[in-house]
Amino acid sequence: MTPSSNDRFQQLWTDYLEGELDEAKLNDLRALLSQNPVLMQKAAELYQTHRLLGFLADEDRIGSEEFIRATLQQLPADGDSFTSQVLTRQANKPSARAPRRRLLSLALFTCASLAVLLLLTLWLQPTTTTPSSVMITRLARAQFFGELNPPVQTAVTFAKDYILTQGLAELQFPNGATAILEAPAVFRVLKDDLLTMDVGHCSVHAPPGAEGFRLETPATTIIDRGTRFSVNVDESSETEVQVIEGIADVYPLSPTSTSPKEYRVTEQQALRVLSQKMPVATTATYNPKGYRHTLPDRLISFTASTGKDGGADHLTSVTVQRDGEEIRYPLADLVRADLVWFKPSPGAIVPGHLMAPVSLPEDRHTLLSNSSLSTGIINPGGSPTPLTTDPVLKEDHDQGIHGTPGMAVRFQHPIRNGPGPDLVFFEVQPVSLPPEGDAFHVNPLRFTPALKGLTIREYDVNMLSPEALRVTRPHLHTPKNKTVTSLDDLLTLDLENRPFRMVYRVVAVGIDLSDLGYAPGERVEGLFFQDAEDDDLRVDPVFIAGLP
Amino acid sequence: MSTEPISPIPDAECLHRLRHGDADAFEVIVRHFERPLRSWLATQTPPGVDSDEIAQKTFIAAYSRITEFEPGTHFASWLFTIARWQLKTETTRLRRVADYHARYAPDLLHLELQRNREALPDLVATRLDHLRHCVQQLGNPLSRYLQWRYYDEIPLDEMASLSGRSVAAVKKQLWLLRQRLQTCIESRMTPAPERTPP
Repeated sequence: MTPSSNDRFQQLWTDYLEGELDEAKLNDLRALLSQNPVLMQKAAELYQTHRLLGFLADEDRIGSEEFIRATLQQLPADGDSFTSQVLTRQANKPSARAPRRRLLSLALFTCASLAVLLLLTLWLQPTTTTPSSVMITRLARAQFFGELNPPVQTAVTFAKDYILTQGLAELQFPNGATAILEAPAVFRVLKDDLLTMDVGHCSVHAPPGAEGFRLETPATTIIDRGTRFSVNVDESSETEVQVIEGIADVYPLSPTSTSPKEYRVTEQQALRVLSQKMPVATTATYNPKGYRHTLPDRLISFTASTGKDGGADHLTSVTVQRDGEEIRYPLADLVRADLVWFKPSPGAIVPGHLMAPVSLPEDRHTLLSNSSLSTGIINPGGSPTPLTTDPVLKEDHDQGIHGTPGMAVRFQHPIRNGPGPDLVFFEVQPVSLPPEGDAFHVNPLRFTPALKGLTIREYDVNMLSPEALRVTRPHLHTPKNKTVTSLDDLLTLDLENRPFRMVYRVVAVGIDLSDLGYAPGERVEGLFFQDAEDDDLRVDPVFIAGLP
Repeated sequence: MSTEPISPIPDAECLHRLRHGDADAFEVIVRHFERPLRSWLATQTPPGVDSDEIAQKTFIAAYSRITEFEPGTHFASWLFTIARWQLKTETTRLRRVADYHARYAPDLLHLELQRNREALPDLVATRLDHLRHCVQQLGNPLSRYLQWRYYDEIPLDEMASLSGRSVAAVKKQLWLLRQRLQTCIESRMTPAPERTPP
């Protein structure tokens, strides 16, 4: 190695370890290493020493107990739960068409540990996939079995089994047809105009020009003649077709016949096909309620600036669907929420309540309202059930007044109950924990007979969503030798900090004030949030804001 | 060079308890193996992957699949095989995540680490011990930079402010720190030449 290349390596390598390597320098480092195997070996050794230094520091500072405790807490009660945890985190292997009958049940309930190993082996092998022209255009609280959610606006892979275990997925076909699939559903796209569904519920809209679109189920082939229709396939493959508008032709499949019968189903008619050796088609009761015109209103996605370590840093915008319309709100339009009350659950053992970068902002009030996704007021108090009366926002032990565990926020100006979500709630979740996010209650500050508390158990953007961005590694700021019991403690106590050891991602949910009983157009000044106390894990809010 | 091999626990009684779902018995395993496993994984995981998360998954997998462990075989080998699988699975998963490329680079380093993945865990444990010794031998001012960078985790500009030097000079000190420690480890890992009788 020449002196100049050594100097260059020294600069690039140090920048790399310090997270200061931009794309151009990264290419320089790559070029340097690719030309010099000795240097490559040296880089690997230096990297390993760097990692061991980090390990030593953690060992000296924190010890092993935290790791051991966290590991033992995660031990599954039985092997099946581990199996399901692993499967939900692995990428799926595109495969040949799976057995149709009861595939979902089989997939969900009969995977044994040995099968996991086998599947992992298969999944890790290179596979060939053929993207179709069919796009996944929208997802709502979707979870796919055995893989991360595919990003929206990406192509579906031909012949791949998609197992939708939760939520909804919308597909757009090149001829203009759309299909909204509802979990639990097992489906695949075989051609640009052919969707097959083994089990599940599907709402199809084929506008003019999309005639001829086909939907196959284990019992039937349905050919669209320009229409809106819904199809439901249960686990015995019984298929029910409801035609909302237009015409659909239904062909029950018979293994013994090469010329299947045709049933023409017209507007406001329904047909049920029993899957038997000789399929039986009967008229069904027309019920248009099962047809879904669009995905539900929700928080769709958010954007954030990128921090030095490549993680999400500051929130820059939020995109929601309100009344069926996608709206993007820049950060400046959001109505920030100030923290006005905080109380942990008495006796609860939590690691701390203030999350921020290594340097804590002077005004700790802002940890929840500022745009940073790595600052938050975490582990608030909770209750197993939502409140039914006004939360108590004061404490006077002499008079026997005990404040309500939880946190109250007041919006910087009242927010209005409009269509769809009216406020957004962001929390961070370690990647090793369940992907759903932590459950919490949201309650009115002032109850009326019309109002009620609401429990949120699912996030619109969950850990399986590509939109759940990894957050810049935060630090936990904890008081020295003192337990936080109030907002005043939170804002005034001397603190020390340590970095979070896990990788965290941001999950988010939109909340509709109507779900708390507020009338359309009603204005709300503040809300009260509590952990749902349904497990040992506490909700970790990092940003709460109203929508304009 | 001699390294103390990692003990092949658990014994028959411990295994029996584990097979009956005794989590307390597994705590013994976690306590015994957490250091060698975590340190080995720290040297094997590429940037962007949390090595402790892989370690936890490894323990959980071992606990869940304890019935697959064959009594009489080397438990540590079995555990580290699971760890290799977990690491491979995680890196494969992350490679499929959209923003992964940026975090994963440089890819050549990843390949080199993959080539070294068969490095003996015992060797990594020895290396860790040597590193601790080398750290204790560090004098000022390098030990200050070690404290700031790895224990306090403060940014470069703060180190510059504390030391009264430029950021470029701080980077130079960090390079020297890492070089010094690397050289120290290598010299301690190199076997001493045999003496020839006079």
